[in-house]
Formats: sequence, C-alpha cells, structure tokens
Amino acid sequence: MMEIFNNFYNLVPVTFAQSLIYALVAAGIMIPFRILNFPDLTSEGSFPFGGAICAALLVAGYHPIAATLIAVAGAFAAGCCTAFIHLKLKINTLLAGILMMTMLFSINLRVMGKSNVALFDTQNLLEVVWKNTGTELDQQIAVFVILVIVICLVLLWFFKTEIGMAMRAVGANLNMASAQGISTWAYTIVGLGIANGLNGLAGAILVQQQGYSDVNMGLGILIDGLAAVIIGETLLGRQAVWRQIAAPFLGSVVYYQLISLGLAAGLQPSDIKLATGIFVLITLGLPVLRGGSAETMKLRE
Amino acid sequence: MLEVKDAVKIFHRGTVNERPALNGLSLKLETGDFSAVIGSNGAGKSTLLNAIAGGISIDSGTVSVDGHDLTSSPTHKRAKWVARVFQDPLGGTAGPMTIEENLALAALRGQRHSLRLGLNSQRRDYYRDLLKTLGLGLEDRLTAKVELLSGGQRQSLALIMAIITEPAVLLLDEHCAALDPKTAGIVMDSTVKAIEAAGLTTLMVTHNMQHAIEYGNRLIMLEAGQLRLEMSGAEKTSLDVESLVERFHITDDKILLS
Repeated sequence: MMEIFNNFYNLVPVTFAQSLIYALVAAGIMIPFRILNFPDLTSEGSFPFGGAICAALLVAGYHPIAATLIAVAGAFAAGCCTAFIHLKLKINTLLAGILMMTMLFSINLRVMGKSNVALFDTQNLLEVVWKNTGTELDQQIAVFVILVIVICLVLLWFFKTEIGMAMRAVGANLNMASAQGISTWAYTIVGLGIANGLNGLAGAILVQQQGYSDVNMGLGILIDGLAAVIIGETLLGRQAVWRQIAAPFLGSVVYYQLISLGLAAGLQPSDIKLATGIFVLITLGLPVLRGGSAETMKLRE
Repeated sequence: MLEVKDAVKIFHRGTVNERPALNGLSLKLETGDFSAVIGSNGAGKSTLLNAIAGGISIDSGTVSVDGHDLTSSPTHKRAKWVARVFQDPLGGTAGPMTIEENLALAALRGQRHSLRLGLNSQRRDYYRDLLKTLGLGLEDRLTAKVELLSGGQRQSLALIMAIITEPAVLLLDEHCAALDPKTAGIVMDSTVKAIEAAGLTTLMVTHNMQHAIEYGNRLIMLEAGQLRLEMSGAEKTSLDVESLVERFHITDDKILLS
C-alpha cells in the first residue's frame, strides 16, 4: 500500500505537467460539445496535426514560436473544415468529424514524412522561455501553469464579449440566433476553429515537451478529454459560464492524477482506455438508467 | 413599410405531394400598420411569415422592407429590419443563457458584434426599465437563466427582445397560442401596448378571431396561398365574430372553436 502511494506521489509533478497540456485539449473538446452543441471528433486528428506541423517545422529550422503558431493555425483550419463539411454538405456532425480526423491521419504522415519524428537537436518553446538548453520539470510546470491560466482567462473574457455571447447563442438555439441577426454558419466555423486551434496548440507543446512527434499520439484523446470535462463539471457544475469554462482545466488536472493513481495501483497501461471509456459511459448513461432524460448529451446532428 | 409582391412558394414541386403554399400573394403594409392575419390551416400564413423572415426562400416574387429588397437575403441579414416572436416560447430565446444576455443579443440585432463585453451597468439599467413595463418582476431576475422561466414569462421576454430595436417589421406567429388563456391575455396586452407605443409595422398571425377583430387597424384573410379578403378602418372596427365567420364562410373548426 505504502509502495503504491510512493509510486503515485513521485509521479505527481510529471503527471501535473502533462495534465496541463491535455487541459488545452479538454477545453478544445468542451467548446464544441458544450458551447456550440456540436459533437466534434476532429480533435483526434487536429491534436496530432498540431504536433506534426510543429515537429516538421522545427526540424526544418523554424523558430519554436513560429512553429507553434503555424501549428495552431493549421489545426484551426482543420476545425473550420469539419464545420464546413457539416454545414455545406449537410453531413452529420459526428460523421463530419470522423471524416476529418481520418483524412488528417494521412495528412499528418505527409507532414512528418514518416510515422514519428524525434526532436533531439532542435530548440523548443521551453528553452526559448528559459533561454537555456534542457529544462527542469519545475520550469516546465511554471510555463504551463501560466499558459493555461492565461488561456482560461482569455476564454472567460471571450465568451462574455458580444461575439462570444453570439457564439453561445448559436449553440443554445440556432433559430433564435439567426433571428437575432447572428450568422450561425460563421460562428460555428470560427468556434470549431478556435476549439481545434487549442487542440493543435496542445499537440505542438506536447511534442516539444516530450521531444518527439508520433502519428498515433491522438488515439483516444477525445475520450480522455471528455472524461476530463465531465470530471470538471462534476466538481464545478455548469450553472455559470466561468464554471463551464474552468471545468475542463480543473477536470484534466484531476483526471490525469486519477489515471496515474490507477497505474500505480497496478492497472495495466493497455487497460486505461477501457477504464476511461467505461467511466464516460457510466457518467453519461447513469441519468438515463435512473429514468431521467439524456439531458447531458443533447446535441446537433 | 412591408411589401410582398407576387410571392410563389410551392412545396414538393414536381411530385405527387406538390402543394402551393403561396400562390402569387401580394401584400402591402404601410409604416405603422398593424394587421391581423387569419386563415385555415394550410392557407399559407406560416409560409408567408417565413418568407418575410427568411426561414424559406420563395420560388418567385419579391419581399421588401422600407425599400430594401430582402428576397434573397438569409434570415440573419434580414434581422436588421425584421423581428419575430415564435409560437413556441422556447423558440425565440436562448434557454441556457441569462435574461440579460438574451436581451443584449436582441439589442445588438442588425449591428456588428464586437469584442467589447456584451453587458455593462448602463445596458443592465436599460433592460431593467424595459422589463418593468411587463410587470412580471423579471427586472429583478436579470441573471436568471431563461430556461427557468414559465412559458408566459419566456414569451413576454421574447416580445421585449423582438421590439427592443424597434424593427421596421414585427412578425407575431400565433405568439399567444401556446399559453393558457390568462397568460395569453397578459402577453397580448403587453404586445398591443408595445406596438402602439412604438408605432410598429406588425403582421400578427392568429387563430383567435376575437384578437383578430379587436387588435390592429387591418385584417387579412388568406386562403390557398392567396389574399382572400382584407379590410381596414371603420369596416374592421364594426366587425364582430359572427359576421366575420359568416362573411368569410369560415368552416375551419380550429378557427371557430378559439
């Protein structure tokens, strides 16, 4: 028992650093699911897409900041494409996302030229911030904490602005939104762009932190992010905008510590996805089994 | 001023289900006209409203407001001139958003949305004053989510939202039909007061003959996608339900029963 706790305890900082990066993915999943009412699966593709673009550009000699920003722009465009596929071709939201992430898999391989790219002798974002080579864990955490807090605050502000409120209206009631002069197309496209831009940013930062990019790094990320969002919502609630926006960030930190605890307790890494999937199923399904309505997941098709 | 010219809309064209909803309908409302629209089911009332608001595009003909041709504009572009209260109280408001946020979005109708904060104390004071006119106590619940309101409260809010920008044309789509009689009366009173105060050009679809006679300076009856009859001024004022039914040979049960 003591040994399990020690194993877990020693990993808390490493897990915390990773969970901050994945918090951006959770936010990028929360925005379409909860704010736009658009179940977007693009993240499975846009997250590694951000990583692939960033890795390829770093290898090509780009500055880490430029590489990261271009990765965000690429993932933003991927999100816009998913929205456009749904709006223009009337393809179901889920299918639009699956199409996009499937196509992105090939694109990611093209971008990287192979299935994984090592970043040993290139400079990364953390080294730019700390002006040195090779960063300690506490330095990483400091950067990530600030980044995550800034992004969380920017999102909070954004969704209180006129444009942000209009975007929330599109998710709340399409008819009402267009009757109030809001272009549901433009806001859906930009909203999915922003969400996937966050996914791409997370991918770009992760490859720089871990020193390599892998085409499979998005596998299961959606369910991880969804689990994080659900945990955050359970802890914070969804009644106020700030709670909804803070939920994925807090949820991600808690979720990855739980996973780490599970691993320390002897859970096989290969079983994690099953465990997470069951967790998400139970939280989404429980209200229905109790006889309530499926209020938690009423989404656009 | 609202002008609909030779509007044609045929649903399921070229199939066995082909059904003309608007059949060369023309209609003109002068600024400040308040017209009730009656007609049996399938007469084209909803299609007419949708054609004006932008929910459907007509096959031929034109729709213009104050000289702006809106025929091919999407709904959100028409919102600058046209406001609408839906029949369904859930239709015209965003349930998960607060009362003040709904009002802020309505007040921005027809303007460019910016990255300024959507709410400030000045705007809140203004919304409070507007809500006071309803007398429902909503002015003390600005930060309550709209989904917590009753149907009548929600519809009253939708009404305030529709008139907040003083639209060139106000469309009321049986907006009291889903409410209980008492609430419907309250909402109807607020509606008429607001329309008269601002002199809004209004088209009100209703199944309630009494409302159609009592309110507005004009009355329009649609049948088979065409203007069957219209009256205004003294002719309308002298009307009662019986003579209306008799004159228009109304046989629709839903109209007679309401």
